[in-house]
Amino acid sequence: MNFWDLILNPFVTVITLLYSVFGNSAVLAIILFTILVRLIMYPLNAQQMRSSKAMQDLQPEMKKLQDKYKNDREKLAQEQMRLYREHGVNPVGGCLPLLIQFPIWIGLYQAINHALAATPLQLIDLSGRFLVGGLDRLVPLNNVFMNIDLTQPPTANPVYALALPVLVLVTSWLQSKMITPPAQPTEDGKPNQAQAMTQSMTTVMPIMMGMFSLSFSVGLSIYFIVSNVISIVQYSRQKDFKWNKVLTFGSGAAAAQPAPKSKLEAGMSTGRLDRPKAKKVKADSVSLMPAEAEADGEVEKPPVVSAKAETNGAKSSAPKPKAPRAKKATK
Amino acid sequence: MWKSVARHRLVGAAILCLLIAAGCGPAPLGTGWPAISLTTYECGDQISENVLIAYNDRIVVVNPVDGKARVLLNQECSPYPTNADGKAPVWDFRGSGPNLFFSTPVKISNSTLLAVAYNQQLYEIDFQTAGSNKPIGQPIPNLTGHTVADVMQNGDLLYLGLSAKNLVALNSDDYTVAWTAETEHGVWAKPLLLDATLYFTSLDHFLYATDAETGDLQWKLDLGGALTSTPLYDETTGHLFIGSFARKIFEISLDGAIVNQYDTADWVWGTPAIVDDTLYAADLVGNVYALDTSDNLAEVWRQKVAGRAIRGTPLVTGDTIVVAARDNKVYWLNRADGSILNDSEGQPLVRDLGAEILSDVLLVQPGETLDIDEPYVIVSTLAPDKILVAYSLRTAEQKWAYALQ
Repeated sequence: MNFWDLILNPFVTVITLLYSVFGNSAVLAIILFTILVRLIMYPLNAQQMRSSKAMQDLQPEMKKLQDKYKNDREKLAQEQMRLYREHGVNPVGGCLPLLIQFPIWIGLYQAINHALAATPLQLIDLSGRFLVGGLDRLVPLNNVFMNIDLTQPPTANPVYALALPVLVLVTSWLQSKMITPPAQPTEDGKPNQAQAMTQSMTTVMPIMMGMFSLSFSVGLSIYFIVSNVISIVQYSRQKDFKWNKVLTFGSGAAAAQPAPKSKLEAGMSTGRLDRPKAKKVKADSVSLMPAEAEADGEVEKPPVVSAKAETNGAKSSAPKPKAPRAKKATK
Repeated sequence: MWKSVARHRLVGAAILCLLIAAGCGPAPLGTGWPAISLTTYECGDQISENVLIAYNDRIVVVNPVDGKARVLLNQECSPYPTNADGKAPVWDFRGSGPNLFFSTPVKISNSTLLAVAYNQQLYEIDFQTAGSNKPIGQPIPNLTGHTVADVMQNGDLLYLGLSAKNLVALNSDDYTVAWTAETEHGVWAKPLLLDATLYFTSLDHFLYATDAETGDLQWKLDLGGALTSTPLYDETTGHLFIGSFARKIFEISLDGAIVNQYDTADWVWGTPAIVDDTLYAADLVGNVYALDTSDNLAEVWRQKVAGRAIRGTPLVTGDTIVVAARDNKVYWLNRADGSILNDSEGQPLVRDLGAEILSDVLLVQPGETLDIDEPYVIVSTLAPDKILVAYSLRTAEQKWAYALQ
């Protein structure tokens, strides 16, 4: 028994049990199993979301530090660490839950493949995977739903099965839009390349997922859709989530995003950063307080994107920019 | 620090992408195992014995004497002249597109093979030229579903099991559907024809008996687990024998009643073999069974032989049984008690091929058309570089190996 068997065998067993309990419906078994696994992983997922959000919220401060210490890497590293520490943020806190979840996602995916057993090798591989006696009699699962063979790709099924890759694409896109912050230009007005790349991924990845779904079995498309919908529901339940942020396109997307306030002024909105401790920041601990910033000849500027949004005439809930550079950008 | 975190995230993302590609990608081509069989071919006054291999999108023919690919013959039944590299054209047929061959091609005339790909494309292949007689990829009209089972020919009809929950009879002249027998799940094994009745199994747990001419159902019998093999008919008892995923081996009368049954440790995939009133079968956790067919399937012996599945039918010959397993090994067993035989130096007769073996084991005997000095056992692995390996039946010495080029 290898590592994957430890994950796969219980998964395959549970899918088959669900199949037997819920009227021998493979579709229902896949949906319920996906929900079940996602519920079990909820604490990890929530932690990852909190961590990711906290990192996003710290970006304005982080950027200022980068600008201030652009010639002193060591000092920059120290200040960044101090910033993380003071706000109770672990910079790699989002990675660990992701790494733990990843084998489970693969296991989920593979379990569905195994349970449906479309090919001889998959069926032979199913032997010995059941941890509960008596499930042998259910093999192979009934893999046809509404005349759609769940083991075959949509292209090998009735034409209406093509709706599934479309749903995969739409839900993947929605999910990526929700988790990806809008691209904001740098202070000198140039596009932020890293963010732009992330933004482009929100378009490319869903298209890729849609394309994959055309060649994967329909059963996996159902898994993708359910999984995406669960993520969408999870993200939409975040405190400061607004649908208009997600459903705004182009540069307006950035405009629709409220200008991030300094968390030192506004406090954190979610997760660990909501704790009072996170607000306890010594005035002289980080060179971000207005007085010090002014002393350095710097004025705290709202993001240029707000100004840019005005230029574009896009409706925005963001406060009007007051910083000189931002005003300049609007002229 | 921040750049370092970003870099770590980038590396992490790359690793995740790799894992996704490796673990979540669609199943690779090898979703089945090589289908191997023996076939003869007459060209002029020459008769040749051949091993046919159908695997992935390829069908090749190998000489069982030396394990070399068969050289194509011209109209005069002589080999074609070699090219500038000193190589002669060899028998190698490739399906178009991503066609997979799960089933063994069937010889429908001396010079023609019929191969059916997983995606239900039919190929009539000329044995002499290794080319397709009809347009490549001709689909079976008005049918859906995939083909895993071997085709069986009976006069003007060809019988073909499909994943689309049926067994179809095709007219062999134009491949149109003569009749269809519906099942509740796929049919993955070749039917057995006996006195104008077809006996076939389905993954839906039923053994079916239908009229071979009309397809009319005579009876069906629920055996409690998926069935993936062709039933075996034993003339002595006049009964059918079959293993199932219900972890049982059944003895069934020709009118559809269970006569005897024997509990196995795991699923039985392959068709059993019966020699001298003893049935030999294997299961998917590596057990081999010997049961007395003259005594209500009483256990003669039962041995845990392999570490993983033994899918194929045990090869029973003389005092020896040869089984090949998914643990990469071929085992020579004592037919009397199922123990592993030893060679003259006391070493166990077990050969490790380093790749999974799921295909049936073939036996080739010396004869007029086969110039070998002793019987060979031929096994097939999932690794293309050891797609066929021949051993001496007696000593387990390797005779040759063939790699799919």
